[in-house]
Amino acid sequence: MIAVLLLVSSFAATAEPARPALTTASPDEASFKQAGSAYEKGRFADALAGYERIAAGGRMSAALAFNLGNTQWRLGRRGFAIQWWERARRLSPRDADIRYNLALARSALQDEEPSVWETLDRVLTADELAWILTLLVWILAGVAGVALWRDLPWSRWRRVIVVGMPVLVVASVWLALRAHDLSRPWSVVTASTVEIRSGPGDQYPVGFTAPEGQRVLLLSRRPGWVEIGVPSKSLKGWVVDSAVSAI
Amino acid sequence: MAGLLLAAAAAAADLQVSASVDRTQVVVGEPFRLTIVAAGAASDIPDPRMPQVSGIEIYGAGRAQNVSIVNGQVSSSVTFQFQVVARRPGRLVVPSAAFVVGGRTFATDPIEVTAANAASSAQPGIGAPGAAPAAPQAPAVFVTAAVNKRRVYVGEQLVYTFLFHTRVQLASQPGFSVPPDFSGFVSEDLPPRQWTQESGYARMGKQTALFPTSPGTATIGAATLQVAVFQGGADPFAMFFGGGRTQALRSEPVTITVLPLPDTGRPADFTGAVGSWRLDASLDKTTVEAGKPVTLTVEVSGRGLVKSLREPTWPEIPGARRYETLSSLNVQNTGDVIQGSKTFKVMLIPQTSGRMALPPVRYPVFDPDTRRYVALTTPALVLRVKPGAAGSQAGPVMPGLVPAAGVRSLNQDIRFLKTEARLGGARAPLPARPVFLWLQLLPLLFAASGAAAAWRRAALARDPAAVRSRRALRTASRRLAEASASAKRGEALAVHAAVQEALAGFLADRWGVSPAGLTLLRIQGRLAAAGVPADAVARLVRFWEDADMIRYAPAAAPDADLAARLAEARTLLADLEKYL
Repeated sequence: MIAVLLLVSSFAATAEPARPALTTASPDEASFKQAGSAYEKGRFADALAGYERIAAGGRMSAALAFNLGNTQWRLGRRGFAIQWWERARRLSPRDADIRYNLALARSALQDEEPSVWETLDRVLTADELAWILTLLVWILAGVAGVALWRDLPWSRWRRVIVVGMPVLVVASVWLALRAHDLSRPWSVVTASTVEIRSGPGDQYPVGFTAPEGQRVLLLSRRPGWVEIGVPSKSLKGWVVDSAVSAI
Repeated sequence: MAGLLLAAAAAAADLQVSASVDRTQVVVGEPFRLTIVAAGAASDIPDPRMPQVSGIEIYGAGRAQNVSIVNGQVSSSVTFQFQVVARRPGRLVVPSAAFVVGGRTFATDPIEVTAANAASSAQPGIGAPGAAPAAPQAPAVFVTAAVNKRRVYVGEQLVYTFLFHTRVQLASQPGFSVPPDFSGFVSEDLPPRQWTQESGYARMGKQTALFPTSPGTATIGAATLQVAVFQGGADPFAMFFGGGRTQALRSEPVTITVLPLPDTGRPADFTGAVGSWRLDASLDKTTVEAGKPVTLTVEVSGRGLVKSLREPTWPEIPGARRYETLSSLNVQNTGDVIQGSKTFKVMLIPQTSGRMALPPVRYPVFDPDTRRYVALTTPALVLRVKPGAAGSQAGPVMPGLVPAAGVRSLNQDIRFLKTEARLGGARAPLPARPVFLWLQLLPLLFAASGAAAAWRRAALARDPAAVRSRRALRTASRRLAEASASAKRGEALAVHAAVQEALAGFLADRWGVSPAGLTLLRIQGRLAAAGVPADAVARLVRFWEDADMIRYAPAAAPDADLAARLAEARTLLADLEKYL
């Protein structure tokens, strides 16, 4: 119970875009097709404008985020392309096309490969994990409730509880870790190779550089500057805030 | 292919070097040309190292590099130009130039030249032949240091000129004991030039091109020139046998204001190129087979610090693999300007046939003359790619190894668009919505209720008397309800029996005794002992006796109103509940 409450509270701070619900055809869907048509004719700027209009209207889906990433890529903006593909992956983590494009972008950037845990973790969406946890809670609590009401002997429902409880714990921890990851402000370098300085100002020396498309963690803000970290390399520093964009 | 390039770099051990001069009979004070050529299978041939030798001054005059990629093999040739000035007559040696590549040193042969004084030169002294007389109070020798600009941008060229002025003949060639301090600048030699006489002084000098590296105030440190002059200038013995008085002449430091490059209008992909530049691009062929290499050359040329130019940001070239960039540097130190070009060559291997449009390459620069950033852009180039031979690919193929049939990966590109929008509104994820909390709470509440039921059952098992007492009123009420149902069916006897059993049962449950053992007398006694008011006891006794009479002597009993009996029984139960 406490674990569930902790999960809920940690997710309350999460700003992950929602998994879209299926809807009927709409003007936005017509705009989606028009933008796709512009893309096919090589008019990538028009395609981008069309897709961005849909997103600005509060509509989102993995397909829209994926297409926005493709269009940015065609326009030579790797950082924004990776940003959109990362958003698409959150919405549809098992989509092979999204995973392929992200892997291709990462290989072009010589970025670090995702760890085994990251790969496993990205098999399910947060909603799917939540539904699995809910199902487990219903099964275990339902079996326990019925057995207690009907005064069934422990030996008859023990097996369900003994097997189900560890699974419930694993699912809860998994969901908690996902909530923690989603609550972290991941961002992407969207400018061409940027110089990261040791302080928030041009007077500070450059500590390292990061290529466009590098995933970084946003740590703090100052007017015009943000502090970013690259956890995989234990590096952090300051960069102008226009050079990074949140996933 | 990368392996090929690495192999080329490794083959840099085979560096061929040579040195030559344009003449071996030279005149003191007049520059002659030294040319050093280094060639090998590498693109990063370093600058040569040359020692300082007496009697000779060597000035860098530029370099020209040619890099070629033929079938993936890299070769490079660099020609270094120097201006050499003999400072004394006689046999002089132009020293060996050394290149260190891969830990090995490659050196040119020294070159011997013979220097003679100019025909018009006064002998044996050096200095101011025929100089117009200066004012008697004017110094015999002095030095000046000056720059052509006092305010420059970071990376903008300025020229520092150090001049030695003399109106007497010198006993030896002047030399720096403390050279100018160019900290904070990148310096490049400018070629020696002939200085005219001025105000009765002969002049000798050295010019250096400087490029400030950071904004702020920069100072070129004072330089000290060591010079020996003849005493009085009329002693023939002193003139022939050397000697004279040595003087140290110190120049004034020169302060420069270095402006930072403006933030306004600075392109995001600006890499620090300052100067007057132009950009060109070309392909070594316009038609190529798929899988065969083609070289894209981008050249940045103009005025400025050529060697600091950085590689452009290459655009994505769909349908082609791009390999390592090779750069070559060509610099001409002519007049008082550093100019030249830097060439970037990149090998492309088209993967599929068709018309391939190479996107333009952007190269933003800052022009200090106009004080503006300019985004130089190459024209779009078009390459016609013909279908390649089966199995053709760049790079080495193991002899005798036949490519296996099957799916061949030719090119990597992003996947195509999604066509189904499946748009939805922005919604928080399920775990962040209140419904998620309720979804967890409901089954847990159900389980908790089961646990409560089990607890109650356990309590019952532990103390049945207490449970019986607690349920007494509920049991009696149920019996009265049954009696009420009997009353509706007109079963009068059943009603009276049920009512009496309800009262007896209530009392027996409360007291934990069997209702069979309860007599009216015992009931009266226990009620009185329990502190029940006498009127309540009396009403119960009367009700009880009436019930007995109705049940056991119905003929003698008056007809009773069943509803009234039931109501009376409920009142009695309520009263007893208060006291028991």
